[in-house]
Amino acid sequence: MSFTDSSAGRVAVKVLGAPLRVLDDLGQQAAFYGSSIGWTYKAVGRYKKEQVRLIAEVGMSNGALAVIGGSSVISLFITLFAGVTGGVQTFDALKNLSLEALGGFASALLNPRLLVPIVCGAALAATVGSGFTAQLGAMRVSEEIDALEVIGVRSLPYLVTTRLVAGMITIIPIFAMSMVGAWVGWKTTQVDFFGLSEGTYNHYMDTFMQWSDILFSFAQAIGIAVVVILIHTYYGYTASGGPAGVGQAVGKAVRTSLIAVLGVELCISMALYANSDVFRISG
Amino acid sequence: MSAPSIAMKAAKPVGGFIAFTLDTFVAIFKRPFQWREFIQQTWFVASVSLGPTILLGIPFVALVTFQFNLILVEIGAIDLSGAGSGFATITQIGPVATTFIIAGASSTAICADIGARKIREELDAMEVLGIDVVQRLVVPRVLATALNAVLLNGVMILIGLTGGYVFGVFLQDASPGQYVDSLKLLVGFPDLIHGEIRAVVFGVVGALVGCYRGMNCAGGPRGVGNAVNETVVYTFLALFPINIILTQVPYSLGIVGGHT
Repeated sequence: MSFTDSSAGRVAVKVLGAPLRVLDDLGQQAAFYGSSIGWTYKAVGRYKKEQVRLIAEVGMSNGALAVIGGSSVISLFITLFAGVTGGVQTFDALKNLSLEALGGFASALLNPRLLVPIVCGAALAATVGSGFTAQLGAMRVSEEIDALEVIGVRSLPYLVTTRLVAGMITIIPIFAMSMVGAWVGWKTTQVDFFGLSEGTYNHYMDTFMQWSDILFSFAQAIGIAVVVILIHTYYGYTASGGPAGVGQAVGKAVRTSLIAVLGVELCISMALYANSDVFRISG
Repeated sequence: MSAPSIAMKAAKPVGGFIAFTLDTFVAIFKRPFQWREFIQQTWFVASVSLGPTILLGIPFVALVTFQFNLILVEIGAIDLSGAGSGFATITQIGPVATTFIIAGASSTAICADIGARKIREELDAMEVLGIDVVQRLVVPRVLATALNAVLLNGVMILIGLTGGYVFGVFLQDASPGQYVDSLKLLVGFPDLIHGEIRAVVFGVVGALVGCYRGMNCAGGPRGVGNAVNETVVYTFLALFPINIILTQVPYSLGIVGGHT
């Protein structure tokens, strides 16, 4: 008679095994991430054609999303509106303190440090990331990935690492467009809609804009891109349970990566900004 | 592809979505109301959203408070960190983070569920039996997500104020009494109601997009995956503009703001 035969034993195994299963899952993810990063040299050297095709696909998307402009235009659109919201909200808050002239200061500071990394990270997870999960999940459940392995192509570098590299390359233009979108939205709102003087806005914007902030926020963008694409490809690569399972995998991947995006951003910004003393306001 | 055909391709789903929305609003008032499905869905949406809300809320709040306090330390006004935290959390972080959760967790789960039923032809079977799918499945989900959005916004605000306190007081040396005292400097009760109303609208729109895209997904393994992917994108695309309109209109009408 084995221990698991009794129902109490089964419950005990289930409860006590839970932490081990979590550890197991974490270990598997870590192994997947490690080996997909490790294959970079092969993906870049061997699969040039697939690599170029993926770069184009990440920038422009395919299917229904390409009709509305692809991931870059979607990110631009979302951050533009986020910038307008920021402009509206800070203008009202500053007006309460009779400091609305500082709108340009808020824009120079908040956009690169907070708004664009958060919003662009979410947009990246939504467009590029979950697209990858859907593609890889569909390949997995229709056994295309197994077929690749059978014909002697290593699926991990061919499918996952190429996507990782493509994401790293395309995040730079996508992020730059998002940054421009946020600033345009912010300035249009405050200057054209609320009648803030353009000279005042530009003066405070130029005074408080830090080039280091922009460089740091690109560092954040690259960190986000790596994390988002690794998480999404993992959930797609390990999808199971038929067509319905692919849908669930996409949902699970988006939930996980939104949390990871914020976590990574918090770590990077605490590391980069914690001791920065760049504002010389009070002398 | 010529320009008119692209416009056609983009306009068709938009029209379909508007018709679907109207159908849903009509079906809300149809009796009998599906209480059992409503309660089950409320529990389902809460169970997929609560964990992400807490895990996403903590870094989100910490990030904003941290950056804001850096400026306050610089101008020697760290005692105002409560005002910044209260203002940021109640007016924007709460609703925007709720947007993320609705788009990323609730509507994707709804879309995956409805999409799976669609490709297993359960929805067609219901239609054959004479059951109205919109009334039986969509209405409870929309109302359940709206209810959840209100509660999630509350959770997010709670996390925001507590997180701001922990960050400001323990890590960046704000005074605890000043933090609590200055919380209400820039925001008040109308702002809270304003945020909650926005959260309801976000919940309704997110659930509608998820249900619509799930009911129209193509067959095959790629169909459901793409449907969920597009749900996230469309929900984000819809919710950010809605957020601006709902933010600006009450300010223009003078319902909120003006606490000096």
